[in-house]
Amino acid sequence: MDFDKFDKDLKDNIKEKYGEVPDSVNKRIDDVLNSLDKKNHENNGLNRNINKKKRKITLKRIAIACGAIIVMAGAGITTTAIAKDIPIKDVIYEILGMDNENTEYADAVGQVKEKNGIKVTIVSTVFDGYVLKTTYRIESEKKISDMEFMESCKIKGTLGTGAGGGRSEAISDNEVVGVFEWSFDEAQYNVVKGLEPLKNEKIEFSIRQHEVLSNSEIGGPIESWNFIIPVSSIKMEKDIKTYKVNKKFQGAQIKEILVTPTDIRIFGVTDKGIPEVKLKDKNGTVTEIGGSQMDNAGSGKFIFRMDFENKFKDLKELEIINVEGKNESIKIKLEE
Amino acid sequence: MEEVRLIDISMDKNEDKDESKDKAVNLKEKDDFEDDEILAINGDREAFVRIINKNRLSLYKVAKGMLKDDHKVEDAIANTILKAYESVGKLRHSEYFKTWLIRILINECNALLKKETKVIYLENNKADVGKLDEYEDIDLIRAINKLDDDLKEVVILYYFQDMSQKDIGETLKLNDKTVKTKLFRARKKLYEILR
Repeated sequence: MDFDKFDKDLKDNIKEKYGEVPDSVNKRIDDVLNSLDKKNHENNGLNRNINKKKRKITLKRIAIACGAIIVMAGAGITTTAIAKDIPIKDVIYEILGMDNENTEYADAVGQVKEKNGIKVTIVSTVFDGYVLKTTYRIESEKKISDMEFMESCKIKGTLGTGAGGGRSEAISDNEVVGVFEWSFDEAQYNVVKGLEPLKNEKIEFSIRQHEVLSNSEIGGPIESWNFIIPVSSIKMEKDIKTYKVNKKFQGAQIKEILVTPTDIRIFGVTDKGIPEVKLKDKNGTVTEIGGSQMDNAGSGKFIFRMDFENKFKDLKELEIINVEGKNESIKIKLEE
Repeated sequence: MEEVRLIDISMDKNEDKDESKDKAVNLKEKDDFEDDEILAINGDREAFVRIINKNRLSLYKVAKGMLKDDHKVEDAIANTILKAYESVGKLRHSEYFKTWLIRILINECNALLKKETKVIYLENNKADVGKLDEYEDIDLIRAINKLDDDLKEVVILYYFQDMSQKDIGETLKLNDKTVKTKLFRARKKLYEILR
């Protein structure tokens, strides 16, 4: 049997017969695409809505803490903090509920750009070589709390390939603060060389204002504020610990564990999927997985990275527990 | 262990070798497309629509290869677009957009096939027999539908989508050897049916 000829004939046959999308299918696709605004509204699907959800969570936190009207409470925190000469980055971390201990790792940026009466300040960056957290502040004389702002990030001239996340909060009608998190693929795990974090880089960071359509849906970008920001992992570096592991668990080869003051990242290789796991320390403190990513490494292998919030103190041993099936686990001593 | 250069890997994604001639010509278009993927992930509806429009034929070919009934093909594509739109914000790797989209479509097709199997069981196969004449290219479709589900997916991506074995591995989360074996088995079976 001539497989090559068989393949070619079959592919040619398929190309000829299925070379065009029938009108009925095209019409159905058109109908679905035209209905997307409505669907998006119903389903809360996009990042914009995730941001809104996060805002709600933050607002809830503030409301519980202060027992007062939400907007007033948010504005109050800001005013008080600024009056006491607390740096704006602390204000941002405080309002967004981030651990204040970690603000020492932030690099002040302080770049400001103003367009159409809206001033955007890039306040600070926190970078562990893998995930960049950029904090910003948007201010205006006009009401901006109901405007939609989105962020994007470029490094070495190319758009970041990892999706960003983060939180934003309107602390008054005229002021919005936010933290944008971005994961850089280029900084991922190399099977041979191990960790290759980015150290000192310049990134292009952009905040875009998007049109808000009549049904509260988002339209295209109408204005953008672009910045070139130096980012460095030097402040974090001294407190980052990397542990060689090389242990098999649930079909994956765990190669290294990176412990930063804010996160724990587990790197490894698999030919299946990433196991569903959580982490536990000797004191019983548990942290759930925050995110994971996998890239093809060739020869049927995939490299993966799992990210967890670092909730542990003086971590000496880490238990990785499979949350599926029989809760199998592996204990790993963290020795440099 | 072999050395892996991640940047090279990312450049290879979704690019068949025999398409290399078109790469330079389409570079500008490719950049725009990748920008669209980033924008779509960040909530830009228009960018999402542009990506779907660019992938209409791919979506159709995969669905048509897996499903016999044209109405089900439409349903599978429609459900895929809606599900993709709902969860696009969770996609972490923009360069996998098309792979991710096709994976959703394959899941949708499999879900519809499961329903179809139940209907056929209840109606004692009568419905299926009665509809056979409505389908064009029945020999090919029937041959593919005689394959086991796992072989069918590999065949659809290889023959209908013209994907490389490496990209099939990425889409179906299989290693290269498994893809090769499945393709060999599927090809042999198809040959037996179609000859």
